[in-house]
Amino acid sequence: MMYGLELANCAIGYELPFLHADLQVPDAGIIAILGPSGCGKSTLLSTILGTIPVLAGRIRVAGADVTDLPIHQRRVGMVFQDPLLFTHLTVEANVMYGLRRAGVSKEQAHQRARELLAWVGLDGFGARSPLELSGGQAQRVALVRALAPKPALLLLDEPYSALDSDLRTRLAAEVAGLLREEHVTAVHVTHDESEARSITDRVHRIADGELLG
Amino acid sequence: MAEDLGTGDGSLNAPSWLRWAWVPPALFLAVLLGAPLASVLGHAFNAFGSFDWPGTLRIAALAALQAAISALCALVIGLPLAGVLSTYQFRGRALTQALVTVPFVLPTVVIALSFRGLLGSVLEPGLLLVIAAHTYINLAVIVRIVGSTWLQLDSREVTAARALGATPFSAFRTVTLPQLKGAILSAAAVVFVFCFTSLGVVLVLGDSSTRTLETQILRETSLLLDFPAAALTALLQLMVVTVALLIGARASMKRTQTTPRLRLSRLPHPRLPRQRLLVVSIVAAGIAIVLLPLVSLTLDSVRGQDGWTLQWWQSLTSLDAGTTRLGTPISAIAVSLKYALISGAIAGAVGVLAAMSVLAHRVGRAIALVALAPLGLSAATLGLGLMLSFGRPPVDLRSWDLLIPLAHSLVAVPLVIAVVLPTLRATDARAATVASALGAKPTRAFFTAYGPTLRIVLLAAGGLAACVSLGEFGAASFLARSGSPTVPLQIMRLLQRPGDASYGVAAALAMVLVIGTVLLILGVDALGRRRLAR
Repeated sequence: MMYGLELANCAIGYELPFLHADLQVPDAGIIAILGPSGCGKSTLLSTILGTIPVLAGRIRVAGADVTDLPIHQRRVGMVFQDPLLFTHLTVEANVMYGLRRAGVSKEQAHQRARELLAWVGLDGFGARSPLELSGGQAQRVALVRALAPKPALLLLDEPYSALDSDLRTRLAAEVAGLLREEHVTAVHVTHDESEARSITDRVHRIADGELLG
Repeated sequence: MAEDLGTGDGSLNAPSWLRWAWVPPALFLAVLLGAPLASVLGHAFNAFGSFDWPGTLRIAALAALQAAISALCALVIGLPLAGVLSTYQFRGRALTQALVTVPFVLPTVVIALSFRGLLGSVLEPGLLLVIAAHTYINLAVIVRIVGSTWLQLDSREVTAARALGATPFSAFRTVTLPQLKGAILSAAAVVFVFCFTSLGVVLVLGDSSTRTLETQILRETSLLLDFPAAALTALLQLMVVTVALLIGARASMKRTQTTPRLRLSRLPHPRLPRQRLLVVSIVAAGIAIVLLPLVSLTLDSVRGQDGWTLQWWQSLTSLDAGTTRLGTPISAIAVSLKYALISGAIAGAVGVLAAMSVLAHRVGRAIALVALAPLGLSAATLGLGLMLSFGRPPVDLRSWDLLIPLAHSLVAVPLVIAVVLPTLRATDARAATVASALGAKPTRAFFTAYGPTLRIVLLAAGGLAACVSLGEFGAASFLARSGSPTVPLQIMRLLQRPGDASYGVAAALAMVLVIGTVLLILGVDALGRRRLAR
């Protein structure tokens, strides 16, 4: 069976491993990973993304072994704790960024960016600077920017932690709906159990250096 | 933190004399900056009719081209170093950063001499040698100015770009570079100005095609004795420098407006093999570039035609080995030390008073701004102006051996203010309030809060100014009397004489200057650490 994400016997860490991960996420499935601060959630995501090398084991995304591939060839998108929008570009240019890197023409990228912004309720915001957006709006732009080049896997690293709790729960449920609509495999990391439950029933925990199913 | 010096809660308890702290720096600047500039302007107007415009403009154009190429080369070599130092944490990072700064603090004549030793056998004096030395000296400017902005960028933005499919180069071009544009332009403008107004490097390593307006001013002053023409050339140079600095300042302001956010976390270690290779290769190349000329100079000071020798070092105390008629090198060292001591005392006192007045009085802020002017004035403009104003009867300060230390103080004051002001601002003024509440009179309360800091910054500022004085060549070349040259002047005179002996003694003398400069910088650094420890 082909999985959206497969971590096969992975040892995660810097010089020495501190987390063992064995995980299969079905294609278009959404999982949440729960764990206290410092347990290695972000390191796990960085390893899947490719900014930290895996110490042992293999990582497969949509059936392809990406263990030795550089970040830009893995087809893994990421939404960070902060939106990290490029402030020297407009909102629309941010959404177009990944499309242009994938070789999509300027006109088509424009069109797609406008559609995606309308999809998350930000129609008419394209010409603005990211600095003019509220926290929730900026995080929605970060989400559609990550989704625009159609990644095989989307990683969400506590993307709502900077928002207030009402907005956080609402946005988390809203985004989970959008991801299902787009059939994207997603791994959502959080330390908030209610946020995790509002996204998916499939919640994994990190405890004692193990990622538990 | 201090807003009003000595009070912490307003100005009621400030000692009354503090309100007048701006007066000595203002007088110092009015006399030593105002009078020379007025003198240069006055002489320049007399030269309009007979001035060699085509010849001078040709020199200016060639110098601008040389400065532009030098700035470009410094950027090409400096940017990868700035990138690695601002993006990754690694063992030896602080040492690498300190090493990159070394060429900038060393006297230009010393660097020119070391490049002559290193590349003189493969390259004829001319454009390539001048550009190589300028690139070397200004690496620190690029690394410091661009690096400080780069350090503020959030490295996760690059990760975000990479996750969107950007290659490392594409992420740099589309995400990092646009945010560094202002800093790069600003640094390039500063380097352009330094290279456009270069004197020592051009005299040692250049030929007729690499003349700058600075060397032209020196020629018009000392060879042709045409002071009005020299003044007009200085004015022309001042205009080019002002335009370049304004462009840099504009870019720098844009940079401040668009810098998006502060870095949130500590720098990451290079984790991936590719990152490690990048860091190791760039750092190794950077260190090699910085050390090679200095190693070459060290070897030249102990190498003769027949092998290793200490002959050049022994000659420092004698009139042998090509130094005849120039005075002993050791006497030049004594002259330089005397000037460094006087400059350290004057610039330390004036700079600290100017920094104190910035915090104590509105006029002080204006004075501190005016005190930055010598940074934009070339050494030749300053030297020429001082010589025209105070180097000839009726006011001949040269005969009292005071003119060079005063010129060096003028050059050092902006640096002293830049070092002292943040330190005073960081001192907790509430101690003065506490002392006042315990019955201390305003002056006593002031020194309770600031005394310990002032003692240290005065010493550090004096050391910094002495360091500037030790290596200064440009202004001294206008103002020195032939019988009492400073060390950089003595080195230059030795180089103008043929023979291995002159070169060897010059190398030994340059090494003395390197050791003196490094010791002073280490001393200033140690004082800075002591202040931090408090």
